[in-house]
Amino acid sequence: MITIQNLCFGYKKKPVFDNLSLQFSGGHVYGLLGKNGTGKSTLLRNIAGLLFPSSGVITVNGHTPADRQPLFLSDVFMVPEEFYLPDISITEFLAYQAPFYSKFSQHKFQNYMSVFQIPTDSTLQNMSYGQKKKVLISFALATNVRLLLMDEPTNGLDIMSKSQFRKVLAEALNEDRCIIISTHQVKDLENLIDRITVVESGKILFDQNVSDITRKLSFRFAYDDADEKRALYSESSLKGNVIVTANNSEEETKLDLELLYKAIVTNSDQITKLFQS
Amino acid sequence: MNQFFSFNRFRLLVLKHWADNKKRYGLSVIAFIGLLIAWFVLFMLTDSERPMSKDLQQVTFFLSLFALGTFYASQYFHDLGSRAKGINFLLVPASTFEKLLCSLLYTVVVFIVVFTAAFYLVDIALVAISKSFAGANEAADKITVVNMFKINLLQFNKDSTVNFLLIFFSVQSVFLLGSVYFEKYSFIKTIIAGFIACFVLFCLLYFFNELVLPKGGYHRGFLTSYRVHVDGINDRLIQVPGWIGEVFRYMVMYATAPFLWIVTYYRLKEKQV
Repeated sequence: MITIQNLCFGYKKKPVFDNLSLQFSGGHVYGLLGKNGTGKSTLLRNIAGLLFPSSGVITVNGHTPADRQPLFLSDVFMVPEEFYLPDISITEFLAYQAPFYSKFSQHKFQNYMSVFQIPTDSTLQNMSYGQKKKVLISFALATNVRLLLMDEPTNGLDIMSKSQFRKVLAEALNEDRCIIISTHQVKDLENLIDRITVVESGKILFDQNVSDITRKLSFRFAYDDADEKRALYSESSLKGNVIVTANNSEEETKLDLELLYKAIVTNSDQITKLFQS
Repeated sequence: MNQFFSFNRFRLLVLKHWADNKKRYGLSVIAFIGLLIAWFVLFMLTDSERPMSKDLQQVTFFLSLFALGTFYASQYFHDLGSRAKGINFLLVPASTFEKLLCSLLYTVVVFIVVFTAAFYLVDIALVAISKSFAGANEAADKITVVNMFKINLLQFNKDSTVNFLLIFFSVQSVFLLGSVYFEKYSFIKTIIAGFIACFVLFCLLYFFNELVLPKGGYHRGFLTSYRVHVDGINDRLIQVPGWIGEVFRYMVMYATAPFLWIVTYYRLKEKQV
């Protein structure tokens, strides 16, 4: 679905990507993780055609995003971190925005809105930031576009809304659809992401499927000091030392995204070696 | 599906623009009508001898047409200056050509129609009121609604109104380009850029005259006919063929606005957020 080859991109004084190559395919929810300012949003905007690479090729469903052709745009939707909704009612918003997306489902929109508990008769400008974001997420999912880009979608959502978000996103995934979520709030997306890509200083530090991660890594409490020393990452908690270590048994443990992220950032060489073997 | 232009997509874009901006536009028209009434009433009160004079109506119409038309054009792509609004605008599934065409429909066609209608709504009403106050005397006969499209304001040829509108469209297209080019304060920056461009052009022409051309002056037509001064008797006249001057004049009149619209199209196409 998305092929990125040797992408180079930079702002006036700040280079961001240098020969970045990546692939994203349909039927997956990708988690794009990384610190602030590492290029996650920039990558999403390059994929959406809002920024143009200085060199390299990006192809999305056979289109070059920078051309911003209507056929490409009608099959992509982006929920940006900073978003804008006009000062109109939800009914009007639907009436004038939805016809641009041929696969838009009114029924699904109503369903997502009811999950988020948003009244459909309100005006967008009278809503809180979180409510507006939920309207935009509902609209994005109801467009049925093949590529959905979400930049920090859980920012500004309360605890209940975050679990509602996970619910609607899980419902919206199908084999044709590719969802890329950029976030630094990794806990919000646990059990949802099936491939994890960590971006660090404009480079891909880690890019693996969740199934491979849980097969090769173990997330658990350390048995003893020797176990802790062998770990790729450890941190103390009230119940003992939690570690990320190579999984030498057949048994798979539950993925802890936050621990994984910390392990990758602090010990990327060893983790890369483990996944290459 | 045609990726350059589709009437259906264009129709959706026009409707979407209207839905997103109707409150702002409605309030702007009301504010304009209010200001126009206040302006005319002020003159009626201060100049009771010649209320709603022809000159006042003309000056008000043309000044406000230029001021509001250029300001509106400079605000059309204002959204591109904000990341959130810019993303919303650029990701609407329509082609760049359709987005530009929509901007021209609103800033050129709709603006002229709404502006003229609002102006005459106030003008006709206040002329009628002025007449009723003047009573049945000679002064009342002089108070009349002026047809702005039939006055001899700019007489390059017989089509005075056409010439005037062409100049208006050309100036307005500069401001439309400015709204894509400058992310913030586009109206002010376009005015400054316009002055700089005019100054540079003036300097170029000045140095061309002073340093390149022999001593003399333009004669019977700017840039097309030059009289080389020798001694006043044996002066020589250098003339380019008349058609070149005509082509140049028509190019300036008819091609400036379309040329700037094309530049705006490419600027919009390469816009990044």
